[in-house]
Amino acid sequence: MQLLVNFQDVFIETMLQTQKQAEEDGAQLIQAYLLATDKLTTNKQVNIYRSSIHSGLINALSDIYPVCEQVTGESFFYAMSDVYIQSHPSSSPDLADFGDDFSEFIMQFPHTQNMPYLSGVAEIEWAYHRAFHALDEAGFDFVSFSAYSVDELMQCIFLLPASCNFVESNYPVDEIWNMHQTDSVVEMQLQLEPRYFMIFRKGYDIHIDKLTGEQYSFLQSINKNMPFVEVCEEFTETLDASQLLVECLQRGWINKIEIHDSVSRLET
Amino acid sequence: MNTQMLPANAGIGLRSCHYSHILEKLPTVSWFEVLTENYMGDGGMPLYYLDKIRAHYPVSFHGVGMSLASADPLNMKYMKKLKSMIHRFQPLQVSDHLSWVSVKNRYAHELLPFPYNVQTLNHLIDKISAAQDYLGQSILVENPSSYMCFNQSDMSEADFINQLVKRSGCQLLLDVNNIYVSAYNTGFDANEYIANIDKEQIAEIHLAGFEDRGDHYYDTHGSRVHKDVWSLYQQLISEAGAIPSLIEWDTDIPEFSVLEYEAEKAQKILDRFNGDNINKKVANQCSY
Repeated sequence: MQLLVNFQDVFIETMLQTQKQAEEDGAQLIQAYLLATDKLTTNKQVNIYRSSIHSGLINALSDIYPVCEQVTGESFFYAMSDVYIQSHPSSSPDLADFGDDFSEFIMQFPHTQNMPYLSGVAEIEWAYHRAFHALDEAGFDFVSFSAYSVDELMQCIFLLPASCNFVESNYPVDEIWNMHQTDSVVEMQLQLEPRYFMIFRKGYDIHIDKLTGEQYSFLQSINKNMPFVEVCEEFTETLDASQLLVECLQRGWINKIEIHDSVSRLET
Repeated sequence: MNTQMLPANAGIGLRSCHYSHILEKLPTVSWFEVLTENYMGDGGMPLYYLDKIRAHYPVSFHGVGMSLASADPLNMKYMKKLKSMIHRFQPLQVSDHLSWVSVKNRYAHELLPFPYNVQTLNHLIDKISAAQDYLGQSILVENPSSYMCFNQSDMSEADFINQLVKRSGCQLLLDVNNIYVSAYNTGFDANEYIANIDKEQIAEIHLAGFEDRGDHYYDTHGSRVHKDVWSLYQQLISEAGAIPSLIEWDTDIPEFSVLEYEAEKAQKILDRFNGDNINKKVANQCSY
């Protein structure tokens, strides 16, 4: 078994190397385990697997982050992904989990510092990807909701969709994302100001909704899973929580309601 | 566990670009094979379509995530998810590969090779037994396509597999294209491999296309089945009898009619030998 452990350690380390590292290193450690064949040298054997692994993982990133790929160009995206694969290896058997910290990587990557909006675009794309695979849920049950008294509603906990993720960015990343869904070219001002987005699924449709600062703060409070009376207390001085609740319900940003004492729960 | 048998006919690999066509036309396909990892999300369109298609067709599950040859123990989070999917969709067979995809929580998402020797054989037997015990059913293990040779290997792949299926109680998913590709790349005789493999344990066959890359063949699953692979398949079926046989196509996926055409070719070969099946799948399944 120790032989297998040692071999697999060396093998995976070699396979995850960047192209540059592989060329410099020459896969020295793994060579000791290999035999050349009539057709394939040991170097060639290693390169076939390494290339296949990197192609598969880069294709997975390309599927999740098509807008980032369009913005940076294919060859830049490929080289950037090559570095990401080595520094952030996949840790899940489900390939759909791979790439979760790509936006953080982009934020730190020296060669994307001239594209400060790119990590925000990547955050939007990851949230979109997660929403695609998220739990199916029905819409809000307004009929049951209308049966509650005001006192009961104050004790209710309102819940956001399971598919929901928030993105904050100083750039119009939603507009960048939208522009890349078509072939149209739009001139836009990259004016620096705080922007907030909620990405979620209604039925099988994925929405990227822009929020006001008030809506964003309110939804952050709702997301703490506390009774509505406590949400209201947080906003008494500054905001009309009831009005915000109505807006959120109308937009589908809240899709479930729970009674605080857990005696009854409305799965809506 | 679903105790029905996969029909000894030609099946087709289910791919998302064909969902609408399948549900609209309900084509005559004996069964579909599902790539397990494509349906491991909590919800969304993939599971919606799989539910719909499962209502009309038998399915088998084919995965890449068990990492059976990894030195690591089974990833129980993955196994739990797989078990819940089996419960929900009732596949008639569940398969994975004679390979590893991960070690120490680093996943390559590629089917990786390992040396064939007594140590790795015993390790594989333990891992497969653990997987079968947890799932409560036998699994199928597929021979890989290979581009690597090891100085620690001291038995042939066919010998390794024969001992593995005999001692672990698993069954064999024999990919004829993989045999052809590996034989070319690593220098063994594909006919001899097929002659030596224990045919009683073959519960499924895969057929696919490869790409000639000059110094090696690469298993792309992106073209029609090669004529030499059809010949090997015919030889195999003539000796083993009819066995469920899948047309796999994963890259540059064509219109559904192309897959149907390939499946019809396999079906014609199967029809010649239907009834001669020496497969002992029922007996094996009953042991679980």
